Amino acid sequence: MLLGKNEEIENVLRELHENVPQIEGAAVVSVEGLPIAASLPPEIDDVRLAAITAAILSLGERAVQEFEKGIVDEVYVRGSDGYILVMGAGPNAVITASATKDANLGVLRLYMKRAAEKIAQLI
Amino acid sequence: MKKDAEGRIHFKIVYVGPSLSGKTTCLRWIYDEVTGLTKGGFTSVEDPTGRTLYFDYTPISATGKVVFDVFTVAGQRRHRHQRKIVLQGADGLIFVVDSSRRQLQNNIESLEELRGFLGDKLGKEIPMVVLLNKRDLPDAMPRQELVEALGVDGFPIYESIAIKGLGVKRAFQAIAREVLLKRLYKM
Repeated sequence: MLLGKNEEIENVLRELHENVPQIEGAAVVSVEGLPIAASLPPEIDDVRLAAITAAILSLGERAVQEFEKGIVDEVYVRGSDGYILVMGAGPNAVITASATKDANLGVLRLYMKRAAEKIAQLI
Repeated sequence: MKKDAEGRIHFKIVYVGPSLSGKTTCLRWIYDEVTGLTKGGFTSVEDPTGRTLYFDYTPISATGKVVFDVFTVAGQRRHRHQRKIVLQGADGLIFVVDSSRRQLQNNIESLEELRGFLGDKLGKEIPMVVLLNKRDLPDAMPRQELVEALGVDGFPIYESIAIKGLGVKRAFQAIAREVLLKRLYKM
């Protein structure tokens, strides 16, 4: 059976969840900051996550512009209780994940990169 | 910002700047070349030589629920009244600068007119990104000198060569994001 694009994206997010159980939620957001697809627990709202992603991207853009560092590939925020990672998924979207503090950052980045590559093919 | 009968939220983005700075070229490039965005028709009110008389317009959508209604203004001095009308209700602006040193005064005058139209709203209520266009010209001013001469160092600055599409999409994505942050997410 052929899946729609949204279902395919959701499958990629689900797969990411399965590979990195420390991920609490993940979403695909357009580069403009609009929610496209999400796999989130009930306490995280996809629109809110899109808004935060837009704000993170906006600041990231300012930073790379100011210091002439090209384009934003990824932004990560480490809080005392976990991580928020935003990673480019092709020219039109990013993938944002929220993970617990016991996540291995290297593993998290590796699987997010794989997911981002798949999503880039779909959007 | 307005809602249409189908519940979609519309935001108005306007390309502004002096005559022949590349406003229509930017919008045309986004319309013709950019993938990943859904675009409606391209409307243009222009004279027989292709100069914009009133505005260009195309609706652009990244998802089904949000539409960016993107306009350009006519840049020539005599179209001041038309520019004022097109700017009404704008949620975000892209100021297109002609980087040529010979055009500096026109850039300054255009920006002063915009500040006159919008006053304190500019950059606060209405976000703006500045696009330094025609960076490939032999007499293009150095970025910092141009930014300082225009007094726009508080705004996000992008560089472009619109006829090749370089930098055009990135600036559009930036203003779309700033508009969403300001108007939709209230951040």
